[in-house]
Amino acid sequence: MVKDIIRNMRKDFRVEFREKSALQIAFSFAFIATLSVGLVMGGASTGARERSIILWLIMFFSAMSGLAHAFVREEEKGTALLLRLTSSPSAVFTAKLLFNLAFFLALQFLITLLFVFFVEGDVASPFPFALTILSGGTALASASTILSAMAARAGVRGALFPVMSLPITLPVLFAATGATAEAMERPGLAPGGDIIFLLAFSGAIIAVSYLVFEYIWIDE
Amino acid sequence: MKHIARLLHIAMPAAIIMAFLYAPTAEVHGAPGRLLFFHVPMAWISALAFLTAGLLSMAHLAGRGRFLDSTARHSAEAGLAFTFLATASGSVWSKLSWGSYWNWDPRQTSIVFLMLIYIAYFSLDSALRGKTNRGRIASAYLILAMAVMPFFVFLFPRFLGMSLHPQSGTLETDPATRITLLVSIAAHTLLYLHILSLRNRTHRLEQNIRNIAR
Amino acid sequence: MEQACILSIDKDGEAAARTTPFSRRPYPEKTMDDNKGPAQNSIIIEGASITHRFGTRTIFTGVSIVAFPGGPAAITGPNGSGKSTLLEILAGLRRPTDGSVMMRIQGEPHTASLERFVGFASPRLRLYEELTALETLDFIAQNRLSRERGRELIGRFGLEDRAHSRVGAFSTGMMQRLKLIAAALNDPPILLLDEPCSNLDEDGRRLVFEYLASVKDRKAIVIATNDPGEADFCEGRASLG
Repeated sequence: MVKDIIRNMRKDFRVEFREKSALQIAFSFAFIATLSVGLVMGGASTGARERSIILWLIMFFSAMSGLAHAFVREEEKGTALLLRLTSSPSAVFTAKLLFNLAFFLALQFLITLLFVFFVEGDVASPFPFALTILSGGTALASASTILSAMAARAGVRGALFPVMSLPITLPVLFAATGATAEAMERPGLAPGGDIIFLLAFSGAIIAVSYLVFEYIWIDE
Repeated sequence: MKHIARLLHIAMPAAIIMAFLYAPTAEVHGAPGRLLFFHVPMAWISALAFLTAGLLSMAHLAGRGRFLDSTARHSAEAGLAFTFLATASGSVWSKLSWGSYWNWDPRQTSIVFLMLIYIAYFSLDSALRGKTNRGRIASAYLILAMAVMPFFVFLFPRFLGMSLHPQSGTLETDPATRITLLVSIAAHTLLYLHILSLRNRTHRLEQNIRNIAR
Repeated sequence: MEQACILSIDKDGEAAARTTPFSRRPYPEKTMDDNKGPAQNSIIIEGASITHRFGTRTIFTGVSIVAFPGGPAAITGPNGSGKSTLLEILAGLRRPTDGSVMMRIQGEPHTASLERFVGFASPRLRLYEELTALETLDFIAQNRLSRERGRELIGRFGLEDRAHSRVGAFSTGMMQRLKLIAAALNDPPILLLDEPCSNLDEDGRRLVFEYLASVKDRKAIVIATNDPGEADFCEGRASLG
């Protein structure tokens, strides 16, 4: 099983890095979106909560633009049959999940850096801030992976993936924006229950994903 | 199923009559309080419909019986209708009682959240129309939504402000009010089951017609 | 389209096709041959009374088929008769509307998760265009032994000088050779091949038949085909339509 996962990850990273356009577009989106929003805000004074919401909306839409690719590519290129024959569904899913986690963490890094630089000068409590970004990112990436698998099998129609994702990830957005705002404003903050909430959410989504993925993946 | 229809024909008129004539006027809320006899059951049914759709989806994936996925879909249809009604009735109530249609009350928000899930579900379901895996993928989405629901519920006290909903227990002090509410809940439940069985029957008839036409 | 054709293959490899609706053929006895390794004894793939419908359209009904080492089987029929579908059902990629597929591997029967015993190749199968031939095989290989076998098969199927080229640049003939290598890579006890010689030139065809002849006594092979050469290689036949 672990070998299966490693095989799949190696294949995914190789394929994605050779056909770079999808990755490039996702990073471009994150970059352009963050800077554009920063420009539009034009130095207007906003509260920490508002800025936190904007940050997480940028992250959400970057996830929408970038994380569906992992499964959609298999459908579009028709390689799903090959995967079905050579790997167990759990191995396929785990490899995609790990890929999306790594990918999204990289996107978040870019977005956060640009955001802090252009929009928010100071973060009062950097450690809880970073933890919130990481745990919220894990939650978004986990949800996106299973949802994109469903959307891909449905034959991705335009905004179907964001439409499916928004209700499911609302709890993440609520918790993450609150905790991020606090971390931006209050110094000396200790990491709070929201981070545990986000990790628990990730755990629950991942657990349910493993249970239902096979039914989505196998087409009989 | 005929029994449900018959019971419904008795229960719903009874609920309506009781709501307007039998139950006493609530002291705090006045005449508009009677709206509660409809609003509360509608909210309850939209949650029940969701739970039912989720359980049917799990049963469908487990392979226990036919037409489970379409029944889940019909339950979701009914659920969506009831969330609209619950939100509308709740907004009217809110306007009459507190002067504004929307108040960020946690329960109000959670019904809207449920509505969003239903709408997303139907978007997915219609994109899958005609495909053999439609039932399975739509079921998987509902199951995922069920798993996420507790997280949303857990959040509401913290992030959505003070509840404008009366705490449970304050309304039901008067026995007449309590009975009326129970009758109304029963009537609405029967209505839901009746709608569900009608939808199932018409769906099956449509399938049969389509098969014969081929 | 009522079709039922049961392959019956006796110990000497003589094929006799009897048309008998819906009856199951008893399994051949385990042949304990000292020359064969124990792992390859008693490998059987059997489809019993398979019926398949898409919606209200019936593709085929009551088809039975058996194959085992020494007795490869062919599925024949005109275009659109469901040969590929039947092969996919045998591979466990599709569940039939009715009927069942059973594989016996090393004496143990299996009715689920059949893909792991099967090497499958079909025109519908698509490979990753960004990977090289060797990387594709490395992805599919389940252990080091398979990886080494992959290198050997690349030579055997004439792809040595393209082993490090991206699959996206391959011609259809080269792609077909790679698909066949991929099917054989993990040395599966059962090979299910949909038109194995499609897109191949004379040389390719020769290589394929040489390979199949060399493994025919170790593996259960089923070929879905329109090609008389491929069908003649097999000793039993199920005709659809």
